[in-house]
Amino acid sequence: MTRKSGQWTRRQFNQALAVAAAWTLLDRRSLATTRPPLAGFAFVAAGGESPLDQRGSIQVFQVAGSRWNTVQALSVAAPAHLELHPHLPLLYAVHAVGLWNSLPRGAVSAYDIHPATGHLTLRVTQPLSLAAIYPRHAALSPDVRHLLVAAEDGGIYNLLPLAPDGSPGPPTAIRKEHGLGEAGDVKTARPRHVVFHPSGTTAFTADVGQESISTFTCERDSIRLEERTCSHAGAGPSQLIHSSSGSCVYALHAGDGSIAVHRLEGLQIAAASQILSSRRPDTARMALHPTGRFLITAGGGNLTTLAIDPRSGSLTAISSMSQQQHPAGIAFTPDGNHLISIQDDSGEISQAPFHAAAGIFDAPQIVARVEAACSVLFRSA
Amino acid sequence: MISTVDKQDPRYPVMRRGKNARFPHADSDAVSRIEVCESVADVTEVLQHTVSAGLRPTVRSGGHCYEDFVVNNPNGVLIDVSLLDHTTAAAGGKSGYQIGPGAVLGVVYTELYRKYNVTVPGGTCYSVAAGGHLSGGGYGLLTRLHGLSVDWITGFDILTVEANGKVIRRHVDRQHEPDLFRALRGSGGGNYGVITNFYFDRLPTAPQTLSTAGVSFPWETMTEEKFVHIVQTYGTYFEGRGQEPDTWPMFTFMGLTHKGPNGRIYISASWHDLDGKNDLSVPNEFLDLFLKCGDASAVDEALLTSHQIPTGRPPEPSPCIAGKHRYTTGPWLDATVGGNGGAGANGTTRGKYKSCYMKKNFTPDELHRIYAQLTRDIPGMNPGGIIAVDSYGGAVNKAHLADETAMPQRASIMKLQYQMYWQNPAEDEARLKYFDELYTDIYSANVDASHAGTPFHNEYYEGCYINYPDADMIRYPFWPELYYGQKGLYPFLQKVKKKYDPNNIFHHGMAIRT
Ligand SMILES: Cc1cc2nc3c(=O)[nH]c(=O)nc-3n(C[C@H](O)[C@H](O)[C@H](O)COP(=O)(O)OP(=O)(O)OC[C@H]3O[C@@H](n4cnc5c(N)ncnc54)[C@H](O)[C@@H]3O)c2cc1C
Repeated sequence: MTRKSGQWTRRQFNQALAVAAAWTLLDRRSLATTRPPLAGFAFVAAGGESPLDQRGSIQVFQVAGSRWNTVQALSVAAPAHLELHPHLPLLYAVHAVGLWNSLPRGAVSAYDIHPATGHLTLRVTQPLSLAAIYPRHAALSPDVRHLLVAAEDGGIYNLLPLAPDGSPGPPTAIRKEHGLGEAGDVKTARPRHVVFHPSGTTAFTADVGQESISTFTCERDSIRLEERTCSHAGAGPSQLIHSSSGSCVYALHAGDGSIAVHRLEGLQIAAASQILSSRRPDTARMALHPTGRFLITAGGGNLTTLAIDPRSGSLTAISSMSQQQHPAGIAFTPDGNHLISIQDDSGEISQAPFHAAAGIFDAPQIVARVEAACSVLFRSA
Repeated sequence: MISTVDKQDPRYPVMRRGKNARFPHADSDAVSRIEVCESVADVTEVLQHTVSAGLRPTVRSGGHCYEDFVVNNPNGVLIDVSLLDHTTAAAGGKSGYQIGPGAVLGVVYTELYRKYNVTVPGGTCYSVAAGGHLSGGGYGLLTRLHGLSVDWITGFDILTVEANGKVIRRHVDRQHEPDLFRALRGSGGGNYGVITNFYFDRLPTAPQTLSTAGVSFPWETMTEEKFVHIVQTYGTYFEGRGQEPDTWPMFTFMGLTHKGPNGRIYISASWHDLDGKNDLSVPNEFLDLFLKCGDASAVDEALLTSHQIPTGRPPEPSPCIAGKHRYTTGPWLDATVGGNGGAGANGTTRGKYKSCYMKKNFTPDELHRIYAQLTRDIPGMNPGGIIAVDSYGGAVNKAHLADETAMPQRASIMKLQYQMYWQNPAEDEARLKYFDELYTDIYSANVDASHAGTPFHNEYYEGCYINYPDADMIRYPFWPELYYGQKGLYPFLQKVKKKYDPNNIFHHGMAIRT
């Protein structure tokens, strides 16, 4: 992958962060607005990143403003990732396990969410295909007919059909990846993250081992490879987000903490048009603001707001807030007024008000603590 | 030429299933297509295409797999190598023989006999193929005399998949990839790649005739005391006299059937005549032992193995006279390849199997449990089935072979195969449950609490046979030790697996796990 002119160098990026940080401090007081207090349910998965003993939980909190009250602590095998059904009160959990019912495979569960209390009730657990071990991510297709699961250690994708009530069925399509490269220098497949393009059946996947982004067409009984875009050496793409218009894909790289902007030509991923390096190569997570105007990255000691150019999709750092801890997951509330982040090391969960007018955060408030938290979602009341 | 059988093909309903009608479990578990290959080049092409398309390949030779390792492959590709079925002399004027994975044992025996007057000490079912059989050990009537089939294998051709997804051909023997060579000698099919050829530098001479006689005992007059006497008589023989080399040409089997009308317990002895004298004193001595157990009857056309248990009219019993057993003697080849190819061979019968290697005679507690299970009434179900007790030991028990092959069981004197057959899919659940309970109960007698329910390695047992895989065993975290022993074989196989199949392309429910 070549770097085009006009891209950010590491030095430029860091300078912009410093400028933006100063600007943020100056203007913050003038941004006070009245906004409805946060209300809804937060779901926090814990124990999905240390799956050997299969322990773990999903903690349910009722949230009112900055008060988080525990509603339920459900014992769940290694939940590494949570997804909400967009229309139904249903939560999906991806179990990052290597054995399910004694067979080498992971699993996915669907839980009914009690609309009034937020309580979860297990509806069904669907084992993945043989050898699909340690799945760590999944995404719902835009028509909510399929769930695409990435089993990282197995190097396998599973496509699970969803019934009209959202229940996942056994995988109808399985794709087994292999390593890439020449003998002696082969990069092992480790599919880490999947995202569907809003147009329908196209999914983009980040493979942290192969160091590539793949484009697949997912139909009922096939996951067909359309294209593979190699990332730069050492990148290790670990998370993808597409812009709200669907014209760009942002790739976060676990290897060096950089973020690449890939324009889409039709549904084809172009080589990166911009690469933003990270000050510290441990940028852990990114989240798209519901307006589609900002991309937030957490890691490298900072919570950084990147403004998205609506035409080109390119990113410009506009503010940054220092954050000492290492985030394991971040998520915006659906109204975009708050960012919830969970900390890997301390298990602290914090809530930072976000001002979409300026793209800046208020100081985060610690609202709860969940040991070994790894994924968080918020559902409005 | 490759023949592709996809879901639209009229052959698909037949070819998507194996010989055990239990599989595939459901339509959604079935393969998307079967690729029938005629040559190694075909297999290479199909395998490469399958791997590149991100699909899972499974491999079939004879289709007799006891569990769902082959035809349960949702939307995957079944590579059928049944047409790679040659049995010939080694190529290039070298001494020795080669056998294709698709060659069924009946044809292997016939070809080797007619062309070279040699044989493989393999199994008893005509239609079992070399591909699975020789990968998982290969045990048969001549095993006490000549060892296991894998003990004779000196090379393999195998297609494996490199880390970058490229299919490569390997010739594997003692000098080339010795680690994979050892792993292929018995750790079971479907683990490392597609075997396209088995090589043997030499093979034992085929016997001239086979003589078989038997005794049987009716369930009508059976008591627990008598049952114990019969079964322990059998075990006592193999603990002692049966391990003396002059007895090794004898294969025996004892069929412990479930109590039922006209039901009988069978014991047969088959003697391989090697020198034209057909001296039957060893099987006579063995069968005479049972005349002290009560109302023994002779059996016309005694059964060679458990797979021939009659489903229709039972054999006609007649009185037994010491030293004068009613032998059926025939040319070895006819006796070996005769019969119907074994039960469960037609793809319409449902079957379930379990196994146990025994190092010692049955204990009273164990027999008490076996008797209780075989006499148990199960409402609404005729359990059928049989516990087949095959003689073992002899040439198998050369200890050094445990280190040279992937078959660690080298100290046993008997090998048990639990078999049950039925037709109606609606009975699956109840039958599998009953069978599991029976086995769990029996192997809770002589086993410590942490391994109860399994014939785990101890002074009595040596685990289970990988060519009789039993998916019930995977609920025990120690299941690999049951099949591969406790002396480091499984970790060795895991290393081999990682090295030669780094992407885990070849996997099934009881494959080597990395
Ligand atoms: C009626 C009957 C009688 C039997 N009698 C005996 C006996 O006397 N002694 C004994 O030891 N066993 C016996 N068996 C067990 C038999 O050895 C196994 O079931 C054997 O694995 C079947 O081999 P197959 O090729 O016919 O089956 P398949 O179903 O084709 O294969 C079995 C396994 O081997 C794998 N495999 C097949 N071909 C290849 C290949 N070319 N490369 C790599 N992997 C491959 C498959 O993927 C599968 O995992 C008997 C089985 C039956 C049904």
